[in-house]
Amino acid sequence: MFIIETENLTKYYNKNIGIKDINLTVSKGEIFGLAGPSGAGKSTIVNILLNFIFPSAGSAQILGMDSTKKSAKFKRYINYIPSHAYYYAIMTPLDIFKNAISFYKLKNNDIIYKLSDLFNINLHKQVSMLTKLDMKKISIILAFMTNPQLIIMEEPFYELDEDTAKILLELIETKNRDGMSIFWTSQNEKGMRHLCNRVAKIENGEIIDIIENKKEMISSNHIKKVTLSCKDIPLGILKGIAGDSLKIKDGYIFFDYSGDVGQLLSVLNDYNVKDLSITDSNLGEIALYSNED
Amino acid sequence: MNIVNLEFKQRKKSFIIWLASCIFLIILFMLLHQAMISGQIERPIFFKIINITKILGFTSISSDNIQFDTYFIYFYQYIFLIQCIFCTLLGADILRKEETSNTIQYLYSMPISRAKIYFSKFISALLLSTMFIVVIWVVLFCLIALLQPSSIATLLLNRKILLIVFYTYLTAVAYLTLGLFISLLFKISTSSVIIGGILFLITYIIGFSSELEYLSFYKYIDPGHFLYHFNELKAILLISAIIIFFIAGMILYKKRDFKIN
Repeated sequence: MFIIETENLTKYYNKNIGIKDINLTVSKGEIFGLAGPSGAGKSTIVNILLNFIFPSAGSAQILGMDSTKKSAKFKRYINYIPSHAYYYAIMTPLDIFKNAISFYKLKNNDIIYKLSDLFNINLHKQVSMLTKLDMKKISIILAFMTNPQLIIMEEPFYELDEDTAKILLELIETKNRDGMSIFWTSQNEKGMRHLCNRVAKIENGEIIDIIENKKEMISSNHIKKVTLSCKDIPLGILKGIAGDSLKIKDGYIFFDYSGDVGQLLSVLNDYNVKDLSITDSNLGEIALYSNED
Repeated sequence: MNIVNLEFKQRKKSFIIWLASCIFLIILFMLLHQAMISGQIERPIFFKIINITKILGFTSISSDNIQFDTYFIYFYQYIFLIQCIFCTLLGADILRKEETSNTIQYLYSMPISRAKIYFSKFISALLLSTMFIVVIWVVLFCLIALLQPSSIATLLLNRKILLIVFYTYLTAVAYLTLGLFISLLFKISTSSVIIGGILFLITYIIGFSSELEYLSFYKYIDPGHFLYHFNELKAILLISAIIIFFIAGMILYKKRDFKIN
């Protein structure tokens, strides 16, 4: 059984086509990406999967259940991260989490506090006072709170800072290893390639290609971007550390590094380094691409 | 209960404002009557008010009569008007607000059916309307007991007054379900206040015509009218309308494409 299966899914908005004959499958434990420009039909597919709207033709099955008929039932096992999150202005994040938990009839609230600590969110501040970043954090916590079998996420890294993006990536990786499936939509296919098993490209409401991906896990394969300013380090030493990625421009040295950061620092310690920055290149790429829209 | 709680939290502020305004109006009417009796206000001014309201179709009481129970019926029309407007606006807004504020995205991603959202929203609106009407009646009778102690027993023993209490409640609920149903026919970008306001105004104006009287809920139980023209058929029609609009609204809501931003 597929986690998601659509058959000739079609949606018209009056006479305009939203999506046409979409046939997709997402397997258990798969991270599936749906990439396409704005207006390509990504949100229409998500809205049909979540039964926010009805298809004009075709069908969608989630966990083997029809998206239009068994929505309340399959939503016990799936969650959703919207690209722009909206909540009730007079409530606090704690009110929202407790309200959400009550729909699932869960008695243990510990997970709320654990995830809130992880994402560093003030549970007692009114939603009307929160930033877009906080709103996005709420949507992420809501999505992971009930340990679902599937998370549907639209531009999950949009509006996130680098620290939060990193926490989210690690959470996705961990939960995915435990068997959670992810349906991820974004405008940028490149940003998805590090995590997705497959990426479908959609344009003008039609799937034009599905690419099999070899995942490059972020946490298991840290490629860091190093930038430094140092005049006395010999070129030979630099080439030994940096390999082919070495670039020198305006007195700054740039290279990619995947080795042990401690060793790198001990080498650099012997020279007069004036400026040094080490960033996670994959994470930066995902966050950058996702924030481009 | 989680949706009902949500709704109560969200609407607490506007509910209090509506209630306070209505209670303020009741106090004004009570003081007006007190002033009239004590001669602080000349009777002709009061009669002028009655004449104006007669032109507007509000009243059918005699201007020679300022007995309290008749005066009560006269000013209760205005309170009833506010109750009906409150219920129509609430009905028109209760489902739409989730979409206009985009919170439907949160609510409907929860494991809950559309039918349950609809039913819970209706129950929330019904409870809020009932609270609104009950609190007004309690305040009304408390003020009468305080300012017109001799009239309270007469009012409470008057079967027609008690029938008015019951049927005005039914009318308010009919307006609530009508607002709920009509709001689902409009595009989400149309303001609920406009929908509710226009809806109420149309039904109110229709009530002026005796030929179209049966199309206006307001005229079914118009308190001034009620004493003279009430019949059980109107009550049956009112209850039927509540059931029909509730079911029709449910069908529309279950088939609706939500507006998601």
